[in-house]
Amino acid sequence: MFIHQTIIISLLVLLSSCGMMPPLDDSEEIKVELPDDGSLHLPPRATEPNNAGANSSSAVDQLLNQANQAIADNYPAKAAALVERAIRVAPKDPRGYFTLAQIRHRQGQGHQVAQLIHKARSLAGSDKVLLASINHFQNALSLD
Amino acid sequence: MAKSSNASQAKAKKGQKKTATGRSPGKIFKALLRWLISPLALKIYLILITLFIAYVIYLDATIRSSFEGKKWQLPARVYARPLELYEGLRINADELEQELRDLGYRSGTATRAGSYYRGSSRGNDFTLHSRGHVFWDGVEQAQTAKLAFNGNELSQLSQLNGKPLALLRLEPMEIGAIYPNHREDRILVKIEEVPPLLVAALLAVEDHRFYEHHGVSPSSIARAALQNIKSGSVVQGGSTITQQLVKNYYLTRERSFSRKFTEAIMALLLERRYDKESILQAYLNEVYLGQAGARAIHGFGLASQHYFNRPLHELSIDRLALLIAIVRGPTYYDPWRHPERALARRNMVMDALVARELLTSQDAEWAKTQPLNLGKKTRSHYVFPAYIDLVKRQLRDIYQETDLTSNGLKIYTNFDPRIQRHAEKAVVDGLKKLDAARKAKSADEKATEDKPLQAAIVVTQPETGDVLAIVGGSEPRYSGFNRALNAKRSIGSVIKPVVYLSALLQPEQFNLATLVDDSAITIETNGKSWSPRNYDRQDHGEVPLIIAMAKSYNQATTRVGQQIGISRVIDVMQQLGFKRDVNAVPSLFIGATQLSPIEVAGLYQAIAANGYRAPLKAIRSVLDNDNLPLDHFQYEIEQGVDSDAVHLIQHALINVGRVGSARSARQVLGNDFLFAGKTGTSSEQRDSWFAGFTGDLLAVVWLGYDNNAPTAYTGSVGALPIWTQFIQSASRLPLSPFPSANIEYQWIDLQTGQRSSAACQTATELPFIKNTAPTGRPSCAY
Repeated sequence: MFIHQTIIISLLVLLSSCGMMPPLDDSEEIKVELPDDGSLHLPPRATEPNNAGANSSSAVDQLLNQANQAIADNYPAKAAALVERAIRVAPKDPRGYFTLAQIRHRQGQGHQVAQLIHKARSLAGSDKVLLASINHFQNALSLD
Repeated sequence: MAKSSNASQAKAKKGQKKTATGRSPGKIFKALLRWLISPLALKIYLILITLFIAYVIYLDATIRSSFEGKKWQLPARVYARPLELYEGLRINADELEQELRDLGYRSGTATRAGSYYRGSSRGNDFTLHSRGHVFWDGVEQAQTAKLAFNGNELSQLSQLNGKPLALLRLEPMEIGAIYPNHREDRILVKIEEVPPLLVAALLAVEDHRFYEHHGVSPSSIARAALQNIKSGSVVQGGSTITQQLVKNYYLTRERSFSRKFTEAIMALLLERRYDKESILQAYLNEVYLGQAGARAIHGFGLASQHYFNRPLHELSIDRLALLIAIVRGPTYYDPWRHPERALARRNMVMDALVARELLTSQDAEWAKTQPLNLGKKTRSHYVFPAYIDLVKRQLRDIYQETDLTSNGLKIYTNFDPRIQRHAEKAVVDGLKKLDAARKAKSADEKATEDKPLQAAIVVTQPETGDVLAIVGGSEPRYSGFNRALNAKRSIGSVIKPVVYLSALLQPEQFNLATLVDDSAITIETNGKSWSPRNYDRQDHGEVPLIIAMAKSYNQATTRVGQQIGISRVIDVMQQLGFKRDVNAVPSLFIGATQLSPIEVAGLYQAIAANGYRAPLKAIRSVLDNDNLPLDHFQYEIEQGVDSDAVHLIQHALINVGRVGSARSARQVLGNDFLFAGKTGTSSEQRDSWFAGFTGDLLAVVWLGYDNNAPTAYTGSVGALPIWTQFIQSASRLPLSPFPSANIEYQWIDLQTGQRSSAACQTATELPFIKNTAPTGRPSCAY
């Protein structure tokens, strides 16, 4: 599993360097560890958030973590509902949309995955960690 | 011996009276006796017994068929959004307290679920003990929390021990229900959920031998009959709880021997079939306890909410006693209409409890000092007809009528009571001001003098498309024609952002600085010519696109529309989420098409959300009567139009408040509180519109007469002040446009549409999609 993961990440980095994704600043390569236990990838909150309401981050964190637990318990619909709550708490926090995209992927809703990734990216601004996570997730999808 | 016998027979005959037929009563009696044991009579007995047994079997089947399984038709209950409390939430202390009051929380201490304490002098500190609730995504446990507010923000949320608390979700307020035709309403309770004192008190007052009899109590009947004979009227009933249940559940209110007979048999059968607890539980849910308009209040669960606005298990002794008091006559002892009667009977109930040692005399004396402590008579959560209309409309797409009126579904919506209050106030205040001004001028049209000016408002969350509030007319709490959903009216210039967005989606041709021609134009269509004119009847020559929109020039907009084509504009309307067919005529460019306020909100939602359309949605989820998840209306988005072009149109809409027809709103809201929006006025000012959004709310306001008569109001004068008042009170987050990396800003001279220096007198900084901004050396026209 670890070898498989490493190969995928290496491929992702290679692909992203080929210009398929919005370019990252080469001087600041972001390392993203994709979870290998079936859980969601929850990127950390941005250090310089946009006007999503920085104060609501704890609430969003809790809901995203609960969603992750719901995924671990194999309740994707419940996980989606929890993330939707997070989006209502902070509608301009891109993490909610990105997390929901991962859940929709598990639910087999490919079209929504693409739309949510697009939305998350549009709100991510200069959050390089999140952008890298989105890129890697998107690349992994293309390898599915 | 024979002589003696004959003598005695003669004597006996002498003592007998002769009947009219000449036969003595003794003979008749004997004859009757003989007939009663005759074969014919025995056959009749057999038939009667058979019929009786059949009747009993029929009654037994009737009881079983309805007593097992679903006993009642339960209306679907509709709930508001649950208030999620977290640090950073934009809400103030007064608004939280209002929410808690609407939920029936007790103030003073926070020792029990459903109570709170607010710091002295309407302070900003709260201690809150929430109630638990079952939601679609799981159970929210009751918990105690400390809260502190700083102005319009919840600044601190922690557990009682001071540890941080990330999130606390309150239970949602019930805002309505969807009833079956008979309008019976009830909240089912299980016997173990009912306070033991209520059960004990009920039995003490209504049927103290409940656990001893088998459905009918002859001694109670005899005692009641004696009492009634003594008093000369019916003062006491001898019916057991079981008989009362049978009467209410299966039979009519008819007073006849046959009904009483059937009632007694069914009571006996019921007791034979079911245990006492099941019968008691059914009674607690069946008993009629009042009326709220056409709605019949059944059962103690709903009665508790109806009379006290809180759940049964939170009621104090005096309140429980009042409910027991009402059982005897919900109309006669109606605590709102006859408070003194209700109070007297409530105290009598408490005396009965003392007599049966269910209550100490000290407790009873204290409880008797309490007033009736009723909740609000008109429960605020049953009077949002316009929103409930939308809920029903969206539910009927997926549920059948019987599902909604009889299965006890729980419908969780996006309705926000705080936003609704502000919306209602803005509409009512706004119409009042306009009416006062109209009366002062007394120059309004005669045709409309007796018709009230109407208004409607739809409020949504811009990113998610959640519908938060709806006002359907000038009297928001009365149901009737719901203008927010059903009034299709000419939208006037509210359409113009769609026209200009269609242009900006062609960045090689149009940007915000592009000069557009505002000279007169005539269009020939189907042999008819059409010549739109500007509101000020002036031609303005060549003007930058951003100014043409801010000033709402009809001629320039029509020329731009003609350039890009009517079909393209309609395409963009559909990409923004509009679903109906539109008449493809050039007058569409300036709004000669009819939309409802909610349809306009749909168009603007995608503009407010950077081109991502989300269906406007009233409902979040549905649970069944056992709190099991049924449906979840998931959040879905679709990028309808390019985000960069939408960013440009947002900027143009912001400019409407800066230099265009919405400047008055900016004066009220302040320069720092950014908003974007557009006025709209239809032909002869028959419709006045404003559609606009901030960082947290999108609101569309319409104003006009139902008979489509002209008004005295443009969009700026009629709808905009209502929108402004609403946003000033309800919105907490100014708009903060978020450009993508593909947007760049440049200084432009608005006189020429060319690049300029920042220092130029007529320079303004505008966003452009990369590589589409004017090139050349910056210069100044002035």
